[in-house]
Amino acid sequence: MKKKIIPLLSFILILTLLIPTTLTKAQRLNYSDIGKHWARGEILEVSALGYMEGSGGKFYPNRHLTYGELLTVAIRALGLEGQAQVLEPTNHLRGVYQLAYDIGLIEGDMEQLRPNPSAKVTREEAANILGRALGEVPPLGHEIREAKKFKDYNRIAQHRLPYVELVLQKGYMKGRNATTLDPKGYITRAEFAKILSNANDDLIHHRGISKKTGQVSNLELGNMTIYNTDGTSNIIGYEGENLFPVQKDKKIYPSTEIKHLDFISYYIDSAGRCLYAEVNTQKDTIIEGTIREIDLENREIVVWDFNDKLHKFKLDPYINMDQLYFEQEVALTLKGDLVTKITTFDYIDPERDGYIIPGTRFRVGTVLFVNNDEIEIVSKAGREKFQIDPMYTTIYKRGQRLELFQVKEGDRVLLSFDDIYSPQVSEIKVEDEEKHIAGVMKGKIQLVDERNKEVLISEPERLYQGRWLPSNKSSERIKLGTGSIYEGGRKISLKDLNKRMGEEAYIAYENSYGNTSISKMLLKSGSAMEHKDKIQDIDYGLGRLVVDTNSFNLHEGTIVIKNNRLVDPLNLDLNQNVYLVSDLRSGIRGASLISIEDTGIIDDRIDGTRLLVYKGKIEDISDYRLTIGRFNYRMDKQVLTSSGFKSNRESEEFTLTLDTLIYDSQLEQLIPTKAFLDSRYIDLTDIKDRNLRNRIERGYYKNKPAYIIVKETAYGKEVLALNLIPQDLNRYNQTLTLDHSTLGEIGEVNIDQKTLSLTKVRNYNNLTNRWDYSQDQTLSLDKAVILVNDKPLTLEELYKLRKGSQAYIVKHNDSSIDIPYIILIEN
Amino acid sequence: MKNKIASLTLILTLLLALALPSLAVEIPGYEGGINNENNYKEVIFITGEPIELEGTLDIKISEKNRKGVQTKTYTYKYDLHNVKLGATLRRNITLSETFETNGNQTTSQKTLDKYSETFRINGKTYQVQTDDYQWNQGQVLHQTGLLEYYAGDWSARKTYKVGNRRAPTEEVTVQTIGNLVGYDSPWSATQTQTLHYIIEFENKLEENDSWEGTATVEASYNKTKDYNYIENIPNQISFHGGFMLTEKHENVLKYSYNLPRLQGSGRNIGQDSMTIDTNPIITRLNIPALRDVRGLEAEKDILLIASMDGFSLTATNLGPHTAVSRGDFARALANTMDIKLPEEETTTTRTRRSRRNKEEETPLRYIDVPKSHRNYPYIEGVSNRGIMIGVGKGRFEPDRELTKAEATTILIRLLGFQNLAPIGNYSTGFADDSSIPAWAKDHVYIAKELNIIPRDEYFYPNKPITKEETATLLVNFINYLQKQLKYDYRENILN
Repeated sequence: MKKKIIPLLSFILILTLLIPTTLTKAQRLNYSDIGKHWARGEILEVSALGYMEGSGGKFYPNRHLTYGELLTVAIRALGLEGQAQVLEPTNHLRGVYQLAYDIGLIEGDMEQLRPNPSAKVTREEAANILGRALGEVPPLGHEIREAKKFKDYNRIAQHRLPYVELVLQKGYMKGRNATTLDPKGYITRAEFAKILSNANDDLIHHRGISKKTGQVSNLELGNMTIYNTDGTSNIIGYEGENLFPVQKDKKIYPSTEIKHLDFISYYIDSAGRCLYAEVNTQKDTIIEGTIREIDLENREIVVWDFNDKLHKFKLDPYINMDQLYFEQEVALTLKGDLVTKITTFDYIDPERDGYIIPGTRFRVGTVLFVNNDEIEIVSKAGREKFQIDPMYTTIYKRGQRLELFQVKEGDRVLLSFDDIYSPQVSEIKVEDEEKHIAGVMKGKIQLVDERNKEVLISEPERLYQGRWLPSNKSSERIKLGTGSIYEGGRKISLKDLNKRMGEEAYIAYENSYGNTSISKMLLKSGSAMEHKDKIQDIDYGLGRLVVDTNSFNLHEGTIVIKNNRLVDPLNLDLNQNVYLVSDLRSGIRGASLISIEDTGIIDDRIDGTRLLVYKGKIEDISDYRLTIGRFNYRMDKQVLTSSGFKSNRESEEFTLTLDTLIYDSQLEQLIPTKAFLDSRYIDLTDIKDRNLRNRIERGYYKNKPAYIIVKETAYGKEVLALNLIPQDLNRYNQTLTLDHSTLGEIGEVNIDQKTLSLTKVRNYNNLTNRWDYSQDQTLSLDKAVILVNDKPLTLEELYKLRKGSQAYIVKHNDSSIDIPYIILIEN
Repeated sequence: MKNKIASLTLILTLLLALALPSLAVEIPGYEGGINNENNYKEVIFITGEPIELEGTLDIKISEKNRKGVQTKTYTYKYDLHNVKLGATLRRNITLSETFETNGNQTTSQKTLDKYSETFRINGKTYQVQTDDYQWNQGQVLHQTGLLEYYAGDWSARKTYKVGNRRAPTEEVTVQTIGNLVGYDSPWSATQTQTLHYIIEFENKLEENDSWEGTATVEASYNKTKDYNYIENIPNQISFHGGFMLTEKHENVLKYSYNLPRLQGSGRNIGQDSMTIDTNPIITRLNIPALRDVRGLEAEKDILLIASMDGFSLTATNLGPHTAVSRGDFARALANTMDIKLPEEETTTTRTRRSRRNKEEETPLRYIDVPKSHRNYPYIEGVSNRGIMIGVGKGRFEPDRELTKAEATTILIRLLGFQNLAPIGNYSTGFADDSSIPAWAKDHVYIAKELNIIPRDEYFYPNKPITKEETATLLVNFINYLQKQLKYDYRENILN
């Protein structure tokens, strides 16, 4: 801004005494003659900071500056006024002069106080003395650039030029206009105030004053807290004796005028007292654009706004610059050049909204129900239902993929999802058998160890095949693990058992990692009764079921076991074969232990498939197809049902694949599927040579009786295995009742002898239509076809069988010897 | 001299950075074995059959700091046997590990310095020397507010020789692919190792005498701190009951194998597992004097927190239904989660004093938490770990109510799971989702997923949390650390 100076008659002002800061300052600063002066902001600033002062309530802004004033200001700015006073206690001005000579601000006659204190000061002299006061090495020779920009550069006295250049380079002083410096013109007080204000930041350290900028966060008890842009904070007093002048909109107010959340620049002395503050009253401006440069060291960023302009900003330490990146869209809220807020717009396309790392959303629980579309689990959070889709959901266990039907009720599963909203499960991970129920135990509570979470059970008896067999140990240590303890329908803690010493309990236990631990424990209450029958009626709502025409109460604590897994009473169903132990108390029978005996191997499966076992005669073999018809002329083709073989009319055609296992139990050898299929081209009756015909007959399969195992899916029936049986079985009668089914668990497998021991044996009684417990037995596998999880297993692969797998066996009684022909295994 | 000081300070800072959660599992041996106080077990497969060995294991660990590089040297001495099979195994190992810290992550590299192994069975001796064993392991550790998570991988090839070392008649080569993953927290720590072995046997004298096998060994080490309420039997006693803490190691080994049948055809496939526990270490907690919590649903939870000095031990009244202050929450957290508090200043030695003077010069972390504040050390403690970070611009507001959103955020920050939350716009599923502050949303989502907060219809994020709710929340969180986290690191991997 260019301003014309009107020279005024100068008043000689004898500066005598310095009034120390504060207290009266705010009042003193209310000059009456600067009302609309162009430099009133600067005048207030330099006055408040004690560089300059007026007299009699006036500042005389347009009066020319005198030498006396200039030197006094310079000495004050250097914080040396005290020293000056010590030098000349009586004559202040003399002291100032003395000091100014000493530190080389001026040259002249000290005794005469020359230059004359009341002499007017030229612009170049003001710059010279200010420059010297800065105490910096001035630019010389070719370093002088700024001054040469002015036409009247030659008028600057040579000995002053370096310091004039310094002041110009620092930007404290400007020319009258772009081309004129006017070095010999006189300088007014207002102009000098402006220059001082510009130089202020370089001068304040001399007096132990520091300048800070920040936001007022709260005002309490006469103190205000300010968070500075440099990351520090200050607490300053602003009331009473700490009152300081505040400039707001170029007017002076007492410091009580400062409001919460104001942005202020303020000066504090070494004692932490505030001398003066300016309220940043600039309106919030917002600059939007993208980040072009990030300078982490100086905490600066360059923003390219949408009007194609570049802006550089300094960021205060509260802004985490790690979060900024090149080309980031930002909106900066500014007060002047102070960034008060930075908003980043991090664009994520809406398509990825709610994306999670696959698997980070998961649920752990126990399977309550599962079918082709849904899985319902019980977890700590209660029952939850999710969708499954055979095309989308993958199921695995021990790193191997499973078919859906291999997921059983009571399995512990981990479901994971790909999306936060999706009800569809992407993966089901099934826990392996470490947590399966190894058995049921009954015994008396002898001791409770809460530290190790163990219970000592005396007189332990294990349930085996409907009987309680005493253990060979007199007492058994059993861990609580993740199991729970019930008394009736109420869950109790291990601690509560301390008051149940000597009482009997049923314990479903698991052998996880070599430890026997409780899955579920129920205290016995009342006299025991046992039943073994089908469930005739069940009411889940009332918690009642009828077995063997007796009604029983179900409760939370009822131990229900199915497929070696602890399941929910809701998994009980009509017509299931169960073994039930109940306690009779006060005339009420409470179900304590229910073991569901069906394996479900040949039942309908949850995924809509099932295994079918037929017995019939091969009627025709065609291109990867096989027709099965009547077993003999008096008997239809037979199909295995839950109550033995039943008549199944009509011939039926099945798909055959190269994976179908074809076994000739008479020859005890595998037949390559190709050879089997190719045999259809031969017509035995065409072979006239008897010897040749006899030889071929062994490899001729039409009209031979066989057991076939078929997997039925929605897309048809596929033969998994076929077991050719000898013709001599082909009696016209009885043959039906000679087939019977056996259930059991695989014990030891003898690979060399090709035998298998079966434990927990149950035979289907065709007369009573019940499963009867039976002795452990050893099966000779020579004539059997084995399917494990729907996959044929040859005798050479016997080692792959896992102990404890469930087996369904179809045996044929031939001359009082049971021959197992079909073994279906699930594990 | 100056150099030395610099390295010393570096060591100090390193040590400070490494001084971490109180509970950490002690790993027996360098790979795939389990132990308790006096017994060590492992399985080896080199003869073609799984052989379980047990015996003793001596572990020596020494730490060194040279020029700011931290190294650890491990020495293991195994003396194992299988009485039934008449087998013995002796093994001496020296490993060294170097660490490199970068912010809250530490990577380390382990290498084998010295190795010797001698296995005797049926008069046959299998031997391994350092040259016949290539082994190395890399690990990374990530520190969050409270927990440490780490993962590592290793690969190795070991050659057992029978007979003359230079010209062995038989050789067994074991290739190992291993990985480990684990965490340390104040209430439980777990590490699970998975090792896959590919075993190849070769008889140099007979060409047809060779076999291949594979085996997988999974070992899981768990340390859990648990609490029990013990009631006194006499009725006439000044306290009715109190809490007991038990700390216990539970080590599990599970192995499966696919080996040849040395006599006969087919393969020898099987699996087995075993556990060894340590004797629990018991600590009794103080008995809080609280009376106004009796009969509340969360009485035991509040008492547990108070027993650990999370709430005042000596006060008789807590005001369970009143809001908890931010400072009080910091105290409850620090005391229940074993968060290290800043050291109390002592004036015993001159160096101490000079350090103290320096400390006094450093400005307060929060201008509204003076050193005289009743919760000052706890607030410093939780702030040092970045668990509670104040409300911005140097303020902590220690005497303001804590909102549910804040409490949830703090707990998830302890776990360091906020990064697992979805990106972009999403809903936490609460009906008042829109009133959840932006900074809390990810945390609330995760807390809900992990069942740390109930899946109710409303969350009430801006409602102050009461002391009773605080106790329930903290106990839930403790249970989460004890059970769910352990499940994920053990059962989820082993089963």
